[in-house]
Amino acid sequence: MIRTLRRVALSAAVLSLLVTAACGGSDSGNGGKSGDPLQAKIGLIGPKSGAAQFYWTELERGIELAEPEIKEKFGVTFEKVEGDDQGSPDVASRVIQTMLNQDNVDVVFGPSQSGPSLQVAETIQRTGRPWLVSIAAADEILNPEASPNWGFRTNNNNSDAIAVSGSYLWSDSDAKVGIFYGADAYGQSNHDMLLAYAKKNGKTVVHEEVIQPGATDVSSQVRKMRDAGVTSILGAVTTGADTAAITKAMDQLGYKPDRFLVTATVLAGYTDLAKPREWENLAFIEPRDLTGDSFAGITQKYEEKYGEKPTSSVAVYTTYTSALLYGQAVAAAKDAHDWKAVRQAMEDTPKLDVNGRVWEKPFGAADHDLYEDDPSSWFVIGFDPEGKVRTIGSAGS
Amino acid sequence: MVDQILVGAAIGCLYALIAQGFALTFRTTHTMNFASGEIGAIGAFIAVGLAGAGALPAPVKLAVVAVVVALIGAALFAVLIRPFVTNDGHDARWLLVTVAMSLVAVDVLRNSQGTQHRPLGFAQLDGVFSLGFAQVPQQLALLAVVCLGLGVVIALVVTRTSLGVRMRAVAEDAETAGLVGIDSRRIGMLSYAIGSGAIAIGATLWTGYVGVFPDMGPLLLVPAFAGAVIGGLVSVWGALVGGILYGVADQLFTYWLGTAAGGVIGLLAVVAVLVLRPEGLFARRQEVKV
Repeated sequence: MIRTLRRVALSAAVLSLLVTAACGGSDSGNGGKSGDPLQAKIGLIGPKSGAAQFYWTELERGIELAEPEIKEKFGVTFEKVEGDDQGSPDVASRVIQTMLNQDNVDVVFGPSQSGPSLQVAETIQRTGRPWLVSIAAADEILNPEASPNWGFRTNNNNSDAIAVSGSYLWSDSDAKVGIFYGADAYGQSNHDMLLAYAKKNGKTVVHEEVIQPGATDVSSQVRKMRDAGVTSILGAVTTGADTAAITKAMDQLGYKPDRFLVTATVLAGYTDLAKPREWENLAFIEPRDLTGDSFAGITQKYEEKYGEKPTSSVAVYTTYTSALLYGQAVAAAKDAHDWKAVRQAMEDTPKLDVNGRVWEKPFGAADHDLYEDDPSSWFVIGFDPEGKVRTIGSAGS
Repeated sequence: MVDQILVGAAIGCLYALIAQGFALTFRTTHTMNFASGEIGAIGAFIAVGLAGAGALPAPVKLAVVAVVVALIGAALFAVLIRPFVTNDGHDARWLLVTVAMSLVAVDVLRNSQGTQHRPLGFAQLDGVFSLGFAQVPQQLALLAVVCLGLGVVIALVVTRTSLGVRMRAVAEDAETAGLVGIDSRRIGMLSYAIGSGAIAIGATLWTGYVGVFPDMGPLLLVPAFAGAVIGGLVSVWGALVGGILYGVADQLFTYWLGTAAGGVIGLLAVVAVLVLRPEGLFARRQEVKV
């Protein structure tokens, strides 16, 4: 009898230990590292395999590029733990458990994509680790109602981008606005937000066309957009190749809307696939000046270190920014394993300097997004005839 | 609308060529290569590698691509498919093997070449070809002419030459054909080689329009297989017509009903054909005595 009770008690103890581990520990913050307090064990999670591998590459390289500066300025070093979410929310869910509970990382960078990020958001929040969202843009990833909020985003979010895009698309009061959007979460999210923006501002989206990611001929959709008399278009598709399919069809049909605004995804390979005349009136908006010294300097560092151009220079820059933000916060908190102190230090960051671009007090208790939706602080970017990015002007003018 | 029909027919010619590959191998070996899309992708990546060989004219580069991929196709049959070919046709392991090969090929291409689209670098025409009442992109016009030409040649070889007679003999009864000295293994390898080489040429020209990328396989496989089923899996002429019909239907219904409906209408047609005329629109019904 006693032996049986002992067994039951032992089993219950083991079970509760396992449950505690699976749910994550406390949020008091102790990475379990007794070594150097300025050496952080950082977890990188992203699509090392699968169709969006380049997001992983840029996440990893963005951190690598920032490491020397972080060590020199703040004396902070990183020990990296890598996790492959394969671009899948389900896989991300498993990987993050291992990263948080077995590897016991001090901070999480990634996932790179919105779907996996949304999947792991609650787990990271519950286990209380500083979380750097450097690429994924879906608004819902950061929960402003969570207190404290452990996530900090160094990319712009989708709703800010749509707010600025909307003001640009409807800047001519007679504009007839339409949207091409991808048949995926990214496209659908942009579509829904543009419609919400239009409704809120008393505008109308006169025509919508869905584009299948990877579609090779979209002349039917472009023809219908033209026939609807659309003069101002938002293209919210996932890759530069999808944008190239649209502009190729526009070119063949002789369709030149007054404004064709796309998203920064166009930077991923678009100009390799399109002709200069196809991108004459193409533009995208960015909260970063892609031709400014801060951004161009980091892209140049990348090219020097890796001997190739980044597939997504924006992802590199935003990840570089996130690494600097975290390294600076660890130095301020004086202990990478004191997660609460590091989180608070990020929230209280007095000044963030990324290769010459400076943010003063970028965050607050209710604001963990680095960028704002003020059009005057965003840039309209296009391509020159050689396919290099050029700044056309401010989105607010 | 005429523009849509022409564009659909042009892309349909590529589907038709791949569908013919299905019909050709199904006739002679009772197997099909479900890695056909990836065979096309492999060809396109080989072509990208050849793009830097500036001295070679584009047709020669395409010929090199076709020969290399034809050899890959023949080897695929000899090593991985042939062991599972049985007279009663009840062993479906060849199907698993070809599906597995497609997954392996995609992974290898992604990991070695990256996932981004890249330009083909040669055999690319710019602008549109105008017929007065309608116009079609020049690259698609080139694709249509080459694919249709290859398709007609393959169909004539199968139906009008001594090689075609041997293929049909193997298709009818491989054992009996063997008794008169026809090597069914060699015929099978030849079928896979012809089909693969032709796919490589078509897919390469297509990537001159859309770019080269590792995930192009499924975009080709599904419409081509649908075209083969619509036209008739044992009819090389039927597969040719079926592929073109699929391409035109896809374009027209996308224009009329939108992307979502356009993408599935061809597949609904496949279901309808399977229910109403399982042998396909252009193949003869085969009665089997039991």
